[in-house]
Amino acid sequence: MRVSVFVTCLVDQLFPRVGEGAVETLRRLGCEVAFNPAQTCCGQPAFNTGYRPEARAMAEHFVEVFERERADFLVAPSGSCTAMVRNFYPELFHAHGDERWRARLESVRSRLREFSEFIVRELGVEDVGARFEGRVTYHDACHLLRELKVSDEPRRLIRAVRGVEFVEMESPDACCGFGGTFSVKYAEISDAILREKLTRIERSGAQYVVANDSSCLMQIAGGLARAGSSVRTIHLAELLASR
Amino acid sequence: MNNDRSPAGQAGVLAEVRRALGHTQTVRPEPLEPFVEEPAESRVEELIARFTAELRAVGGQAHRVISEGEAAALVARICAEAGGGGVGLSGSPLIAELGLAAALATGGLAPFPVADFAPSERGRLIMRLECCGAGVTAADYAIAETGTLVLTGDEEGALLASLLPAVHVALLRPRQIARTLTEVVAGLRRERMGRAAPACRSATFITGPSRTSDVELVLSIGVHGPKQLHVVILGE
Amino acid sequence: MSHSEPDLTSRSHAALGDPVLQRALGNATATFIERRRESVATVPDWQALRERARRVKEHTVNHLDYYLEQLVGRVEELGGIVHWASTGEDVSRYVVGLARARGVRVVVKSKSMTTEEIELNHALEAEGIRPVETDLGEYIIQLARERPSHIIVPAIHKTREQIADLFAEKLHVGRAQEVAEITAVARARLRQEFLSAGMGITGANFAVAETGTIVLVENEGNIRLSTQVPPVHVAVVGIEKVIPSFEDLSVFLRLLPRSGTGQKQTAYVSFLNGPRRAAEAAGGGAEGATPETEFHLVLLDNGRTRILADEQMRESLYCIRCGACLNVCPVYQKIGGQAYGWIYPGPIGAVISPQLQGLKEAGELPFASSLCGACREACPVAINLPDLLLALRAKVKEGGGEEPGARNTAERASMRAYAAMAKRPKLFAAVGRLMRGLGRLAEKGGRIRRVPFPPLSLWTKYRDLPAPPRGGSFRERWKKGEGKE
Repeated sequence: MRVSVFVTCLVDQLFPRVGEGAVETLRRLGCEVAFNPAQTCCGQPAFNTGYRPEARAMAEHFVEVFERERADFLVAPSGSCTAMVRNFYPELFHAHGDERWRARLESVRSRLREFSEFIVRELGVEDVGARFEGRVTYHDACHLLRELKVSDEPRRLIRAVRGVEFVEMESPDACCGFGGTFSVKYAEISDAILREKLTRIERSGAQYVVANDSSCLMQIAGGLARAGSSVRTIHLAELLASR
Repeated sequence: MNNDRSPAGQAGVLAEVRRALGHTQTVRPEPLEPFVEEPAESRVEELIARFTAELRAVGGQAHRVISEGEAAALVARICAEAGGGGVGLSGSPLIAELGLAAALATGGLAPFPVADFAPSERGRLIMRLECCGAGVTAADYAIAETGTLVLTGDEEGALLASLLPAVHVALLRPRQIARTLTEVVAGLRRERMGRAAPACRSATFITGPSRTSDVELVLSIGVHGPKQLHVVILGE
Repeated sequence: MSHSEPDLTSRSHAALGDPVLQRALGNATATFIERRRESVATVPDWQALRERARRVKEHTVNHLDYYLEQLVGRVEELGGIVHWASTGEDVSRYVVGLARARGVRVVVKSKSMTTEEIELNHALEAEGIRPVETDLGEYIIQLARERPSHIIVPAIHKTREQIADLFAEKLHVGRAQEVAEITAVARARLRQEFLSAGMGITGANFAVAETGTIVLVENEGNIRLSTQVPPVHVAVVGIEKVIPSFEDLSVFLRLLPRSGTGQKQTAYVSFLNGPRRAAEAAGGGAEGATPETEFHLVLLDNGRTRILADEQMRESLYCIRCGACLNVCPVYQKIGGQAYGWIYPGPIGAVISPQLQGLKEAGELPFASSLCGACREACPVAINLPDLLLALRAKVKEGGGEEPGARNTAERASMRAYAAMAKRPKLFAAVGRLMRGLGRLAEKGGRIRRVPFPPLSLWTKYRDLPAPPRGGSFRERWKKGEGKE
């Protein structure tokens, strides 16, 4: 099984351990893992803020980079970036005259999977042989849950980790308040939403919050740190790479 | 006032609609295929039980009686407890069959038929019903899955008698209870709202007494409509 | 359309700082969510109903000219009078004119967002006609001279104590101690109004084209009184409220109560077919019965045809005004309805206000969303609200009426720069390295607590930022072979 990894700009620049955890886990499961350094960003920040021409330019680059990858699957440790490409790129290439682009896009889209989706649904694996001591809760990232319909797979993977005590928080599917540029444009509202999430995390008694999206984790970690909490965030890829 | 066919009126909005849709003229579309759902089979006793449970869940009171005598006595008791001022009776034949006017009069409850008031006396009828402790009507259908009564404008004065007094008593026969909203909607359509039917009457669904949660989401019963709803299910 | 504060940020700030409102919003939305969940569970195939409802709305909207014509024809056959109104002023002119012609001094009104949209009460008051809101929540906010904070429970932001004070002050009654007392005061007061009003004005939840039936759902009984007692009934109805056939009601009347209040059915549903008719003599059948009252149907455009003209945005018109999207929206849950600045709050408000009011007036609303998608899940007609919000954002950025200003110019410039970098991997990597270096300057003890300039200063006002990773970016480490085991 040959996999090419779409690390995402956020993981690449700020959370490289997440990417490395993903690579390590995939290799342990027998995948040959490639990384194309020509990749940059899928364009979601531009698209979500209303800048479609800019998003289109970035999408074209994305397609050019990944169509070249001779891999069975493209795997990303991010629900929102995966959803951007699978669910929203078609809107960027819907005009007359975009037929060629749509065909090229399809070869990329059809192979793209989010990390947990890939392991459980494509590899058919739930126990990756990981070990991690701690009480852990899971946050359903919105795009992963509602755009990609992935919610069961990460939980099964977490429960299979030796040493993990899994606890569900109340309303795990409640938004963390990040929403891209929303987090700075409407920072006070974003923070108010985040505090609800932090309250639920605290009430769950968890020591760690796991999610599949670094953007959510950045928001949650930022709030936990500001509040002086001892709860830590950890990406699913890091958790699964733990021994 | 005449209907507004002026250029600024119908031509204005309708023309804008056509323009927005890119239609040069209005064309009748193929109707949507019907929405088919599994029809539900239910026995009468099940329907009565379900209706009763749902009605009680929304704060209505359900009573089951077998004989007409029992029914009359029960209605009289409910109306007595509702207080004075009179009882308005709708024009349902069932009310006449039960001899309710006599039964209530015997109890000193001052019943009167809504039909006593001519259409031109509607204002006076309203004021009269305002003073009444209770209003008694029948119903045309009922819906078991939600505990709903259906009154149509066919029943003379039923709509006002079921609305103005603080207590509403409705008489229902088991065979009038349908299981689902879908069945009743189809029935209304067939019998009352179609082109072939007599000129339409209004209809009202009643599901429990009047209520609101507008203040702090605290439930309050009896806002503008009746505070109590009694349904007397009569017969087998 | 006056706002108490100029923009969403300041209005939200006020809302977030109001502990009474926060408690009320938290309680109301959580309660509605739970009740909705329970009542939806009683429907064997909720998804099938939603899909059917969406299909019906889509079909109707795509043939709106036909169904409006059919509706009007039927209503007129029933003896109703139809008036087409392009704008809110058209409605006000018609209603005021009608009221004058009939010598109406007092109008009883049931809750109708459409009449609030066009500020009908204002127009009536200006002509010396007194409109009385009869829905308890609307009555309360009318007395308080405020805007609604929720579609279904407009006065939810007020405590019982505040309402008791309001009644004591405005109605000159003793101060109520219990909710039941408040309700009793309203019942008595408003009953007098119903009995003396010359006209009742409502909206409509649905208008059935096939039969000319106007359908109204409620719990209090004020709609029944408003339509049964006064001699004239006027229904002001947006053109998008029409549905093709009577049988479609079996779908919508299961979806609406559960989505709106979590009830399996509301206390009352009224089906009105034209004006009230004099009761017939024993024979039954009402052919030839003369109407004893008047029924006027006013069909309102007010920008809906503009929405209709945009094929993507057209599904905004499917909305049945249930309020389900408000309750599940993390933004609405925190800021409430008044912060949206107009009549329609929550996700649907953020979609239709910019289209009805214009992008200049309401163009910032679509950006005040985290795009979580909970609204789309809750919507009984499956409107793709997040996609519509994204489409509106694009319209705003494509020159749709945004204020030119330093912040927007800087944002556009940085997006352009970012896109340019994203096509040049080496430049992207280099700039990334630079930013991480700068970030290390701001780092203290493994976190960044403060960045002194926007936009990141807005982040650090409330949250920490992560310290840039030691050891380089993923691509740097991969290149160094650390990822290449």
